[in-house]
Amino acid sequence: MWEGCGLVRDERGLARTLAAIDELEERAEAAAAPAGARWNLVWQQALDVRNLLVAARLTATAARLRRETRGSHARGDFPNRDDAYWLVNIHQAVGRAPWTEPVRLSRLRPQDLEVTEAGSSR
Amino acid sequence: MIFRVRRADPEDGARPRWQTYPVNAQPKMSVLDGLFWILEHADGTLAFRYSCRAGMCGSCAMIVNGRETLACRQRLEHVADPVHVEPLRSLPVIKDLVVDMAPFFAKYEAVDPYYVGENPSMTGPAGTPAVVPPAEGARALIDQQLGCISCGACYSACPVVAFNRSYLGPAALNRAYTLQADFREAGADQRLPLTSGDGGVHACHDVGNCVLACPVGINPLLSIILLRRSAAHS
Repeated sequence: MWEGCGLVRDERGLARTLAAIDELEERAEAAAAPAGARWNLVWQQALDVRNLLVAARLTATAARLRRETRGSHARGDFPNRDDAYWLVNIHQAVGRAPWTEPVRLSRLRPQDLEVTEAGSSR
Repeated sequence: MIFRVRRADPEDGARPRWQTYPVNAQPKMSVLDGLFWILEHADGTLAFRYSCRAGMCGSCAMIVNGRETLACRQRLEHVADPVHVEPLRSLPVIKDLVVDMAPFFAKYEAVDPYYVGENPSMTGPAGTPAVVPPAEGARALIDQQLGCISCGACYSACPVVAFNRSYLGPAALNRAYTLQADFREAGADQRLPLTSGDGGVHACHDVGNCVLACPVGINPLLSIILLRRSAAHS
């Protein structure tokens, strides 16, 4: 996640990250912990790893889909914002391919916030 | 480096016992790091409590070579080898180095450990909030005694806590003092009897273990002495 899904992402790094998550999920499935529910740190860590992998997969999947740069999501291979195509939220759910829904703009539109180089509103 | 860890599982019926682990100690490792090393490399059943790993949260208070300390702040190069690690005293053991802090916090709660405002005579000009300037003497003392991370080290080190079940202990009484010393505090009259009863400041024997045990440099004994003075004057 640090190397392939960090500050600046690109297709190659994200593909590698998702492959690494596949492999880690297999290993986490096979992880064993000592018996006993009371203050079982190893068991807690095993549960943590599974949840971390879920969060990692959601993050990397969405980052790979979003082929633009927006806010803190910086794509080295797509350095510009693309409102024409990517003014959408990415949704993910179990057992279903990721989908997008348009952002509901209740007050401001992106063009209302455009700032020229001089710093004055367009 | 050799770790000797006090292990206990109240549910397995076995007596508490020492277990020995050789630990691959590296420079700058803390006692807590050593426990993590054991968990990772030697024994996944070892139980200990931790959170911040930086001496701020108070979760990892335990006894290292006979003294209460935060395991995360105790460097291995500063402890004797073998290092003996035990849970805090005077609190029930849940497992190994993890104690049940409930009695400690019950006593903390028993002193009404929160600020009670709305003292009408203590507002500033035109109803503005009263200010205690930082340079003022009482403020300086309150500041010194604030910052308790409720780790339980003083509670464990206190011999009176060990034999007097009703004794509130250093942390709770210190907390009470920091409130009593604030002249804006409106609950002082109600709180004073809570700290002056059988389990209160007069039960303390002035041993001072709490002063040595506190990892953040609070002097609970001083708070107890000052609360006794308030009780005498009331």
